[in-house]
Amino acid sequence: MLSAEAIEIAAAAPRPVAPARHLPRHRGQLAWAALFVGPAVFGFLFFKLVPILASFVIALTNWTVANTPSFVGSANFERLLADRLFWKSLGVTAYYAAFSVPASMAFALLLAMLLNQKLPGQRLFRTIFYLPSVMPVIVTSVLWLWMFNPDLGLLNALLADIGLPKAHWIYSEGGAIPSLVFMSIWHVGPMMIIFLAGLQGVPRTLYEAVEIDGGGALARFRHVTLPMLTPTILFNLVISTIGALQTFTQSYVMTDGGPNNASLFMVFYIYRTAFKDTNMGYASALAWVLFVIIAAISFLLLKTSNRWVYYEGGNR
Amino acid sequence: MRRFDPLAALRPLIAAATLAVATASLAHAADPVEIRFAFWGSAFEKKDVEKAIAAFNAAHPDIRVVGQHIPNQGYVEKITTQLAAGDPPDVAYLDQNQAFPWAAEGKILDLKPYLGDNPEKTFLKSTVYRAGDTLIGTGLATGVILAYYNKDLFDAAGVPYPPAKASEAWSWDQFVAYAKKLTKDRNGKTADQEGFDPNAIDTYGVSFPTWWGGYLPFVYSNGGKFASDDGKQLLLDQPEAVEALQKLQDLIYVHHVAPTPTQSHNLPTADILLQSKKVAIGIDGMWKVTDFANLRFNWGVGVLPKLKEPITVVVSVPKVIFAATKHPKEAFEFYSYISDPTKVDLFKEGLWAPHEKEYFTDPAKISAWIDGQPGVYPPESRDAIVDYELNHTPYQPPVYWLKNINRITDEAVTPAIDQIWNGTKSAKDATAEAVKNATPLLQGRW
Amino acid sequence: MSARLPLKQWPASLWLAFVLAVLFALGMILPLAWLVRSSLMELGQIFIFPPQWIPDPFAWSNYPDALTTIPFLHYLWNTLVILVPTVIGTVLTTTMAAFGFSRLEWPGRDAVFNILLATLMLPFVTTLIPTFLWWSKMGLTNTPWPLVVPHWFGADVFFIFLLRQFFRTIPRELDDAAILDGANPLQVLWHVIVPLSKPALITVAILSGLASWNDFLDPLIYLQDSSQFTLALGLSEFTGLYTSQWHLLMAAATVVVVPVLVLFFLAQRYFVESITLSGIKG
Repeated sequence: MLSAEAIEIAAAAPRPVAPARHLPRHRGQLAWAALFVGPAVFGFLFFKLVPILASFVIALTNWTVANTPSFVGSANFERLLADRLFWKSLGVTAYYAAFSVPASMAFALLLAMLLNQKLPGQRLFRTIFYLPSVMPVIVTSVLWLWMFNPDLGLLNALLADIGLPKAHWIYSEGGAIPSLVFMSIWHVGPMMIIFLAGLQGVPRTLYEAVEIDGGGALARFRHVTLPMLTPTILFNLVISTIGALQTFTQSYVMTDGGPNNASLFMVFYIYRTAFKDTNMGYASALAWVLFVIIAAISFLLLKTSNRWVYYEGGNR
Repeated sequence: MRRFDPLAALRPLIAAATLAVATASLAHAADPVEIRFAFWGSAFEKKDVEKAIAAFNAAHPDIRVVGQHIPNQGYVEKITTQLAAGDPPDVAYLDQNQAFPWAAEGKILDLKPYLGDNPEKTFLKSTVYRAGDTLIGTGLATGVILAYYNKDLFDAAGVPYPPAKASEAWSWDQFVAYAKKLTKDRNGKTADQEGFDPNAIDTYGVSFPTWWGGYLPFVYSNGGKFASDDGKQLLLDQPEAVEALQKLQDLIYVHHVAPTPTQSHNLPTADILLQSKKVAIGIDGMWKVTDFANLRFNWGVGVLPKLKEPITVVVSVPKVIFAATKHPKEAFEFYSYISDPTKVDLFKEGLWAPHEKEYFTDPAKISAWIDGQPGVYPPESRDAIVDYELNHTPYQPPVYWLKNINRITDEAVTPAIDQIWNGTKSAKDATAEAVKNATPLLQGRW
Repeated sequence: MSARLPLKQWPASLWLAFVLAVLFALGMILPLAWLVRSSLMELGQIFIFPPQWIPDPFAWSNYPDALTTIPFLHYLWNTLVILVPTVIGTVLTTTMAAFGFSRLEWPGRDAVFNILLATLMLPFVTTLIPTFLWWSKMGLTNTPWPLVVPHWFGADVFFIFLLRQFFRTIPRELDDAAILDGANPLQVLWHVIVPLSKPALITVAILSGLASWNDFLDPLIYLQDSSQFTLALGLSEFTGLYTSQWHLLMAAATVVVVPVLVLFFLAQRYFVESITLSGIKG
């Protein structure tokens, strides 16, 4: 991604006068830092830290909200290693994330690029593409349940019109996750506008430089758009991975984890354990294991990102 | 320069106000006892419940019930957080998944001092809930599983209406034969004719829900059981239960008279399927009468087909008084009131059925809810709803007495049932797997 | 934006883009079309198959019925009372924090950021009750405060991360030029970074506004009773345990969705506006 040409082009763009040597930074940056990040750090320490620590402590107990909790040490963690539903839900979640993250990112980028063109009705298109994400979940889930219905649904009606046999979509074991991946593509609105904002930030002079060199649309994409968009791509990649691994609403509202556990997402399993079985201790243990997995994947993505992400403001 | 001193100006006013408040508080010697009542329901149910609460407050000047309506979708989260914070409501609807375990931990008030030791004399057996030594109480309303049907589709197919009297319930073979006549493909052929295309079905004969309300009545009807009475064994793999489940699966894949079961309380629900003529018979709960009454088409209710005996189940949701309540007596007074069919409109509107036996035996009391609002309960209701619920519901569904039922259902039974509905496993194989998975989860009964 | 090309001068790539956009738009508009048509139908018509796209008859009464079944204006007010301070607080504190994490250098900067980022990775289920208990110790449950205050303290790490990524695409030389002129970090933020980040900031405002508008679980947990409910909670009042008034829900949902769309459409201007500063961008 970080092609030599791109750097050349970026470097060739006109800049304000800047002396070659390093400018002295402000003294006492720590004081300024305290001002800027202070509220966020305070917010974390005051509003989040205690509940987070508490949730870990709960994972070491057998608390069911109604009982008096007692410590059980690592019993919850040992239990989950032997819990076939834990492994099943891990597999389901990973399967879903592995497909929905790239699919929705690619589609969001495609839409953003389409909408970055000088098309008529650009604002209207953007609003329409953002639309599914604006609708309340209660409405979109009803709509999708109706679309997915094997006997009354729109999707099977379309298939029948083309002469294909009925599909069982989310009501079949094999089709549950693919159907949900398909559904996730509809909801790329937020990612799309984040990509759009990123595209807006690409200096036009860079595109012009490529055109001057005789490059067409593809060259502009490869040498300018993509490299300049890498910070946004990284953001969307990390955020959508974190989100996909915590998918919950679809199983909560639409499938109840079925059929036959085919859509038993981890957070849904955690939720069911916490609120239906009111087993807070075990649910917290499950949550912390998921946390470790998500953190490992996210930080791996971030750590390796320096190799392919280009920040015009420098890698500091 | 004279400065305006607001305090000086206000002083006489403050004095007068203090005097007024003091007098008022003296006059208000006994403040009414405050009872907090948590309930769920759609906006229309909320309206009726709030009306009942207002009437109760007016009739009981020493009690003030504050209704806390919580949307059904987040109910358990909210109640759980309230309990965790030590501030549960006084009276509340409470799903059985929480009611029984919490009662076992002493969080639910034992109602034996109020309901006596033998409430089964007054209330329908299926609706009395106990957890160990604690009498949790009864449900807020009941509903039986029965069959709704679209009269026009029956007339067009020349099929007699499903019987409303349990003694006349169709045998299974009769039922399948009729269902076939009612199932039509896009070319107008019915399921019992040559050339019928099961891939192009326009109208189905029957639909049933995916949850236990859809299969448990038939398991019981065939002489089977869900679990042993001591709660130590899952009995779905026994021949009677397997046969019932297999017959249900055959409705979908062999006889092609039923559509693929989908999520039950999402959509489409029985009323919608029937009105749009997608289905001729919709098996569902009596609580849908209120929805049917609002749709304009010719519908009726009947009893379920029987395998061996005409049996159905009563579904209900527990209502509880939390042990932390400071006013148990007043709480209990409201507790009884909110299920009184003469006090809450939801009974005569076709959403709730009573749980006191007298409302199923005494003609005047039956009339109070069945005839309470004209145009709601169809004429055959005295047979298909009242008699059916009173005399043909011998077994209390396991969700009200089997320990750990939620994990048994979620982890063992539902995945197996899913496979039966999807046609991926036979009833025999699926139930064998269910029993295998359930064995470590069984813990006896409450 | 400069003037659009007249139709005849469109290159093939633009035509392709337009056709694709139209195709996708047709797919995306399906939810709204279905919502609006269902909102004007009687309950029995909504789910018939094959689906009817024109209501017959038009059930205009769904709208007044829906808007009186729930105290709509009251819920709208409750929603805005929470949403407006939330969005303002979010934009302010996340911008400041993102600046502090990208433009300033201080020991432990990246470690602190990673810790904040990690808070996004712990499933909400396990912190729901502890957070509630924490607020109840402060005596603030049954009020809207828990829904607003955290956003004034950078609770939305999502947006801090987003803005940090954007800020890092802005050349340092611009900061340096301002510092050379004697600007302190606040002035650098206000005069250099913010003008160049308008699309990102608008994005933050839109996304956080939407999150607050549609938020269901936290308002449910923290608000006392239905007199304090927001619109998202109000919508759920159309569905009961066994029965639902779909036609009213659709009408209410349309009223909830349409203003958001209109605002979104109008906010597009700020996406398009090019910012000229030293001839770098735009």
